[in-house]
Amino acid sequence: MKTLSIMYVEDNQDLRDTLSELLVGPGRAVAAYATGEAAVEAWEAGAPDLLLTDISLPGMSGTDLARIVLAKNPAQWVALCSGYEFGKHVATLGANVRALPKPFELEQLEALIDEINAALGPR
Amino acid sequence: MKPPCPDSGAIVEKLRERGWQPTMSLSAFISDNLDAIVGEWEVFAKTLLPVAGTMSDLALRDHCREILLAAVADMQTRETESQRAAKSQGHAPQEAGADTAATAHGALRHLSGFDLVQLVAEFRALRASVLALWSRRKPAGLAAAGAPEVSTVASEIEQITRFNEAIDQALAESVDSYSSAVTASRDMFLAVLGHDLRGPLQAISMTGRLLLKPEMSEAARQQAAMRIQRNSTTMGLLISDLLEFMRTRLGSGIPLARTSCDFGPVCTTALETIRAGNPEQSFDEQISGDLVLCADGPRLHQALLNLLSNAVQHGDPGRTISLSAQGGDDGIEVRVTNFGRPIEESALQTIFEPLVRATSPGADLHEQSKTSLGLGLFIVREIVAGHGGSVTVQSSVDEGTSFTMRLPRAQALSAKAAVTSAR
Repeated sequence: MKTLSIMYVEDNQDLRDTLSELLVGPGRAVAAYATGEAAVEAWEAGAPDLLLTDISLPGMSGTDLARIVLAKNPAQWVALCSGYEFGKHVATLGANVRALPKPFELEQLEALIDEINAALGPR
Repeated sequence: MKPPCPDSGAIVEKLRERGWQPTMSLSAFISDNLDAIVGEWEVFAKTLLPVAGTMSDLALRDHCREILLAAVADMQTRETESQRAAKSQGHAPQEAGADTAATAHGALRHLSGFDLVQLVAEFRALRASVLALWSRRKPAGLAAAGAPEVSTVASEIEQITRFNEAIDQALAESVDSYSSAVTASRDMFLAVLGHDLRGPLQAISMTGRLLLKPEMSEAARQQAAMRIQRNSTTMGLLISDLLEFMRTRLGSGIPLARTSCDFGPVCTTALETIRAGNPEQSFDEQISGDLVLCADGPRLHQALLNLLSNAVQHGDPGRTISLSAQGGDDGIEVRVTNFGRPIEESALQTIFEPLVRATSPGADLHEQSKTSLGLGLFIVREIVAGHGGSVTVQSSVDEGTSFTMRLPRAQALSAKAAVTSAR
């Protein structure tokens, strides 16, 4: 089974470090970034299986980041997390876009990763 | 022209003796004496401190002139009886989506931190200024009258009625836009509050999960504990600020228990708390002079914590944050300075107001990359004001951003003065 690559964007360093440590494991690779700008650059160099991003970021927002990558690859899996209530706009971003309202449980994120794994199929 | 009332002759004669000029209409009087009216009203508006104290004269007087000119135009337009009846019941015809000076005024006053009572007081002052100046007018000091008009007591009453209606109309529009702004701001307040609490809560809950992993090293465990502490402090500060904010909004003010307080240790403990949560941030501490004053130590500690955490949040992490406290004869001056992107001039005016930033209607909070309740600085101002002091802010690229608290040395403690309330 191929490694599932996750690109994680979060400006809260504590949460970024913690969740990266929790997500990393056998069959998984996690690359974490503090800003949307840094993530776009990394995405251009190599798209991950899942882009997991906070929405409220300094500078480019997570939504803008999602729009940029989805414009280039509409099939990109994206999970947006936010402490704000989600509006209906998430559904309009793309078919493979999911919302994770904060505070989410690790199980919710794991379930989403399982869904993506299943959708990607054996690789 | 309506006939004068039966004994109006005698009244008019008396008014003439007092300098009343029957040929000048109220609307012409207002347009001819606009500067004097605006000036008088401005003096009053400035007494609505502390909010007005942070505003420029221009921001204070801007809409007043336009509101008066609109009233004049309104008065000069011949009204039918039915139109007037409708207006007195608050159904004045207004073009859909029309943004009058009064509408803009209401929204701006909310933005500037005025409360509804202050907004209404402004209109009362405007009305009173016009009517007082009009009744005081002397023929010699009068500007040239507009189109001559034979005025009678009855027509004078009619003019005052029309003026009152025009002002009421403007007041209704201002209150309407003010309450829309309040609703929008309350919704945003709750959304941001949720966001600001959920962020650290998420970090704490995930760290808890991490601690469950059996293979954690001692160093990683230490680091995890630090994360929990740091994020709990953030949530705790926010909750205290929120409670203080609600208390001041409910009108009871922040309770202050003043005793003899040495500000030196207040600085040291506040700095320790902030350092514990931000071990990589460097701080510089300069403390000198006599720092003992009659004050509420825990409240000053809260105010200083807010300034320091604000500096950490908005400053460039690579630059030192400095804290200085200097005791002088009159009181002590405490300054917190950070470097980084300076605060914009327009934001400086309302920086101590909680969550009053301008947002376009229907703006998606998600699209705003950075928001904050801004409660911290509001609480700082309330605590400092409760001590009879002041807090100011200066910001530039070269000098950095400095918040300065000036705390006067309070007079000797009397038993009754020991517990006072902010505001």
